[in-house]
Amino acid sequence: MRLDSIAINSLRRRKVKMIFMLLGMVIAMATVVTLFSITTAMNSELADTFDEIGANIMVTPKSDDLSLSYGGVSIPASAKQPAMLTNNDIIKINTIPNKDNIAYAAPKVLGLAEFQGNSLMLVGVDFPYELKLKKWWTYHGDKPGAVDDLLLGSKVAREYDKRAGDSMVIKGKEFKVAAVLDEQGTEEDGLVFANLLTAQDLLNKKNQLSFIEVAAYCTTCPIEQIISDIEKSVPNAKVSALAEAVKTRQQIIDRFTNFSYAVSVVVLLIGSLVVMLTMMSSVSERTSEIGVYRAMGFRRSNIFEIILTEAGIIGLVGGVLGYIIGILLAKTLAPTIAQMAITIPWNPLIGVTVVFVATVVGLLSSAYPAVQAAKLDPAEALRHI
Amino acid sequence: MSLIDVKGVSKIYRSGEEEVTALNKVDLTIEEGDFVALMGPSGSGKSTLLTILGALNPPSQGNVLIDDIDIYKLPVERRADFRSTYIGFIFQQFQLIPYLTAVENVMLPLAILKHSHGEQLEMAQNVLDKVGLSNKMKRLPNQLSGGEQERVAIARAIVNQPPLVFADEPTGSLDTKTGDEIMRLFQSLNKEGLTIIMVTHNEENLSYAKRTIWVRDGQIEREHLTGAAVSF
Repeated sequence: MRLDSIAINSLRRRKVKMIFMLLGMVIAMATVVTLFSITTAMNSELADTFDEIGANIMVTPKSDDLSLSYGGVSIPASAKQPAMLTNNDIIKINTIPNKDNIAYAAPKVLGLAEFQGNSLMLVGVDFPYELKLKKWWTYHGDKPGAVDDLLLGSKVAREYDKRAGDSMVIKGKEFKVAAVLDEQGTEEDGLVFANLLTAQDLLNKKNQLSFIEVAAYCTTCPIEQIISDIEKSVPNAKVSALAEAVKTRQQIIDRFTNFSYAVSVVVLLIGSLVVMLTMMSSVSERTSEIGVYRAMGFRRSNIFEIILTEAGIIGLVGGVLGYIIGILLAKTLAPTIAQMAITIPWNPLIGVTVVFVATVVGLLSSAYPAVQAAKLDPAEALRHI
Repeated sequence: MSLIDVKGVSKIYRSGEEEVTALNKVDLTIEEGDFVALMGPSGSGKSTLLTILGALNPPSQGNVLIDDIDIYKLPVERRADFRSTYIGFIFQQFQLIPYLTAVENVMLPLAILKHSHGEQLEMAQNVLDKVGLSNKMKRLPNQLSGGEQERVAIARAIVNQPPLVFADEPTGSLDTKTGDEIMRLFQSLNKEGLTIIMVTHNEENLSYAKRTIWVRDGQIEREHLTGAAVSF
């Protein structure tokens, strides 16, 4: 017989009390885990969604000579050969240490092309990535993708009376208008988008890029870190964050995070209170039992140890069950609560943390009742007999 | 040398401005191997005397020496250690821990001493055998009769071989036949050298004790040697 066996037997054979305390702890921990899992997954999903609605990093060649601009980004365009990025820089961007945080890197080459005596701004893009990056784009026609496909801005299509399926000859090369963009109300209405390699050929900018738009998922890392990574990998590039996009996204994520923390703290406090009150009532019920222990020669520290061992076990078991039930609940409730498809993973690190926190909460909330029990005057306790 | 020496012990309980004198300047000496019955009406102070002698209830004044140790001069935790080695208690209504089996209840006092589990079990089995309960060791208290529970309580009080056992109304909840059996068990333990101090209302129990002390109004009214002492 050891002190911990007394605690274990006490819990094992006083089932109703034990179940009540355990229930308090499990409900508290499960609620915290459910809320935390759902909000964390929502944060991540939200961040991803937010990142996916546009680029948040611009990679441009280092140059002092500025003239052309698109999307607020100036493109060097002087008589002398301007500094350019290369196709190889895309590979470099996609292999930075934080590469897992890169959603898309969409390269572009810009240049002027003559059509029917007028200058058009031709933008060579990697269509699959471009369309993923510009999820808000809607267009009439087929999804562009072939080497001779064009995607026309609405203003260009209107000016030259072109529709999807029409053909256009630019610099002697025949293109097919795969689709016409719906009115965007931006500079894109006046642009002609073509396949990147075709445009590079046509503009005599083989293997050259004017700029690269990057969409980075950055829920878990500072955007500055990704920028620094890209700057190191592509030293001839100027890398800048689209500050507003980053700031807005961060604000929304922070709001969700704060909400989840606040709810978790409140629930945890309620759980602790349940454990503390149950433990206090248990101590009060066991006054005579404690008196008997003290009469036998148990020290105050022995009584303290018995009560805290019980609390520790409740916390430990409550933490394990709370984590399992919390994750299962989160998986069940997430689609309804979050109104979006989110993934709730089993995370051993969070599991261990939850068990640790539950044990600490169990111990802390039982510390007061344990001190009260240890301080019981044995003669007074035995009067209850 | 006497085992217990009580010198001028008084106990005053205070409740607000009201004072109740439970014991008033009691002097008492108990020899090793004695079997003392404390008799007296309810509220006479005998239970207070028992808890004071049991190192549980500091007197308002006076000294209690057990084995020449002034027990109330010991710090609280040292006094707990003293109880664990010197004193066994048998409480009214047995006070077994309801969620522990008979053998676990008996092993309880050993939980704070340095014995291995095997040693604890052996010691507990030996005393349960001594009180005639070796076949019911794994039963919970509510699966035992009143007499059997009393025997477990006695086994628990003597398992760590203390020189001194205090019993508070040990037959109070038992029928006459079982009460007699228990008193015979006490008598046999006393013959083995155990000093027993028992609070009782039952005059029939006095014949088993060597000495009876009557307590009234917080004072020792009278005392005399009883049947057991006379027959020795």
